[in-house]
Amino acid sequence: MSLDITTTETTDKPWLISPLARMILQRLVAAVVVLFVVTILIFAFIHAAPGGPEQAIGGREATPELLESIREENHLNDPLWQQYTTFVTNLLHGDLGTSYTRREPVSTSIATAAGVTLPLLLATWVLSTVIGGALGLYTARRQGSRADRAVIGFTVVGASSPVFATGVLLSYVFGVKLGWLPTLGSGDGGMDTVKHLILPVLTTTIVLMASTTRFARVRFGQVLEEDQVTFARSRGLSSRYIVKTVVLKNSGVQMITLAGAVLVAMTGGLVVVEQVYGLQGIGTLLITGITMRDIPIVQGVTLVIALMVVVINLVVDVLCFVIDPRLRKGLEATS
Amino acid sequence: MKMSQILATRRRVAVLVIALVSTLALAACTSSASDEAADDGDLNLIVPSAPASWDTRQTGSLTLAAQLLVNEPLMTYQADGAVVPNLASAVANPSLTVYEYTLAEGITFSDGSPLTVEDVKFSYELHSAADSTSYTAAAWSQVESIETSGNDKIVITLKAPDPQFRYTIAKVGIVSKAYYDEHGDAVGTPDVPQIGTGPYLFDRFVPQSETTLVPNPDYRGEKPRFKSITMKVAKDDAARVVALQTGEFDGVVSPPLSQIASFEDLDGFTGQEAPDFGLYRINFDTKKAPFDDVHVRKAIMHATNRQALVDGIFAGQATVAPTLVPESIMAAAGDPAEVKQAYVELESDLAFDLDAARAELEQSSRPDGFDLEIPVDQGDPSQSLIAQTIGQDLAEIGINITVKAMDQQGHGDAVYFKHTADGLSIDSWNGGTPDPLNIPKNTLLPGLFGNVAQYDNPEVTELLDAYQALDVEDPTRVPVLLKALSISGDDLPMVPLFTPKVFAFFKDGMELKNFDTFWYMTRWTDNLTTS
Repeated sequence: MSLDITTTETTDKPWLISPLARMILQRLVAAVVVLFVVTILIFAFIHAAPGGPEQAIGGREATPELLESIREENHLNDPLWQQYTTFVTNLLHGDLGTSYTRREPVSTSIATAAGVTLPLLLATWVLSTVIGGALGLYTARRQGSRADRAVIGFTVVGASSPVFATGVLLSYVFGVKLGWLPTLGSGDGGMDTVKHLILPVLTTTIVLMASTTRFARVRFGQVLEEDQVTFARSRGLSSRYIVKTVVLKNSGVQMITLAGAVLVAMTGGLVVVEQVYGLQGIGTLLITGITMRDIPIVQGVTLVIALMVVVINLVVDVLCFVIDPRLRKGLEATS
Repeated sequence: MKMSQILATRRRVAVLVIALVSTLALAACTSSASDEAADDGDLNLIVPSAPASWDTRQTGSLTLAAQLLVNEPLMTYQADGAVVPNLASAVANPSLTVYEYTLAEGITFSDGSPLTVEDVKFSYELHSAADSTSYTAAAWSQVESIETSGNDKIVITLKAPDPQFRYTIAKVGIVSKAYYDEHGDAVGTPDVPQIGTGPYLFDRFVPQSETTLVPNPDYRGEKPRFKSITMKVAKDDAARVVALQTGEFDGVVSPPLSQIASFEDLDGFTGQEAPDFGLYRINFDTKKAPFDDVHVRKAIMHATNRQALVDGIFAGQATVAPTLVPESIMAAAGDPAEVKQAYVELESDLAFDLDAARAELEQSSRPDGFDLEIPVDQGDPSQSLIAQTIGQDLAEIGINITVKAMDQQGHGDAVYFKHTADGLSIDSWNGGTPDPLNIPKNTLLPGLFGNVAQYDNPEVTELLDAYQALDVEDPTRVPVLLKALSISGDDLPMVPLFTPKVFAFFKDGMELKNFDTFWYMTRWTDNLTTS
């Protein structure tokens, strides 16, 4: 859903801001609407699920009176609209609430979990897109060669293997057989944390590289077959120059879009690798929150994930407009 | 491509490979966690769970293994079953409902503040308050008053005799009132670590995942022997086994029964086992048709091959349960010969016999059988396996089941709290104290959470009350309990299936002496030996 703010202007009057800035403004307004809808949906789903947080808080021997007392104390007996209004009001004041089970502000829980997930996410993202892109380019230029077949074979295996299976295999090789790396937990900070993150990063990178490599191979291959590349070669331009000025530029929009899609997929999709390696990241926090019916945690984490997805998509769109003049012109033409 | 370009490319690849190998080698050289553990006195364990907070109201069972090393109890449970003074110097029982504790002198919290009777009173009132969210609030609901007298006396008066209360005291760690006054509900979170009088301090805590304890330098007693104790949760089954194989960990406690065979195959680790105080059971909601008909309940009981469940699902790592209390627990409290005889009789009533099952069903209100949905907790895969296994035999007598996997809270809501399931459920129930009364009380008395069957037999209630009123040394206690179990066995509100064993695996040369199902209540670090 988006708001068309151009309807308040006549078409023959020039805009005071650039088309790009206007597009960003439109997306931000749309983002607010999206986030609003997300909060309503999550709120509805978590309240519709059987079982309530009072059971997690009170434990298995809780009496009906205690359960009722916990519900009252946490305003869980208030009408849903009232609970939602309170949540949104607090949210507008920057307060995500307090976790029922952890007894700490949700923002603190999220920040702690993000300290695990963000390095994992960013390292995996950079490695899978850069290495995947490089392998894609390499194989696109050597289609049908042994190297091409080897890389394609690797990507098929990578794409076919479940994350947990890849994780266990790597843990066995690097943790058990070689004894190089720890396989459980997130470490004590600093280099210890870096060491604990190597295997999760490697696992996720292998799985994601399967997609990025194949996508890059196809896209680079398409560009390499275009007339402009043939013409450039006939002019005697070097391969490096052609790759840099023709292939990469003409594939830029698709590669940035792919990188954005990978990042979006990873934002909420690292839960399996977190479980395998015992990492208390955002995914694990969300799963635990759902299991324990810790409503503030679930609402807070989903909101943050939704926000990240919106921001990533916005950044991707902006980057595409920046690097591709055709898109900029299209935008200007429609404004 | 020119030769010079090819060579340049190969050089770059070679440099990259060397850099990667160097990085990994560096990581290998600096990967000290696995090699240093035992030598440096670090103890690293894999545990099944960790709390969301170290507030004493939110911990119980295995998490007490860490909690009680920091927050010592007034009285300590010992592996031989005795409960002995710890922070108390003496205890007296003027009557079965009054416990008088004398606080030992000169004890301080890890922040240097002195331990007072007000701290003890406050620690207990966290659990006994009417609106307490303590996991053990039910046990404390029997407390009428907690009073202090002078500078060293704490007097607890119960509403009625409760032989389990001595264990309740041994499970509650003492906290600092001043610390709680200052920090409120934040105590026990990563930013506000819990403090106590014990030999260890909380050093690092990741909720529901990792905890590291370090020695309390000012501890009054013998200096703690481990430089650190780290407990990590491994959720994934395969990851748990691999993590142990890396050598990073010294052991795993209470692993899932389904993984015991995997751990037994590991080189360098030795297993320990003990009977668990708990059981898997089939519950019948006696307030719901058709399970309000005892013939239906008996038909299902006779169609349940419990030995096949033990052999097929748990590979023999459990023993068939004739009743709610494991024989070893009951025998420890009474005359073993008398207990054995009673258990033989109880077991004979639970025979697997499909002809008898059909005969019972024909006498029931549903002679042609019926369809049934069984909710199972997906967090415990054994429940689903049990349901599917018994479903095959139930189909033979005309009862067709479907299994519905639910998450923990959904399952709890349907089975324990709102009783919205069809009326037959499968669960495991563990005893919270070593007293034989624990499971019968929680599962047979009306209104209690564990009484999924909504069973209410005044005669059984009276017998259980009578048991509670007797002194723990009274030899007539066990016969009273056996009679209650016999009567409830005839009523059959639930079918006891089997008692699983509890396991721990430690590196060769390490052993947890006197390992039993309540090891976490003991000062277990003193019992952990290395050779």
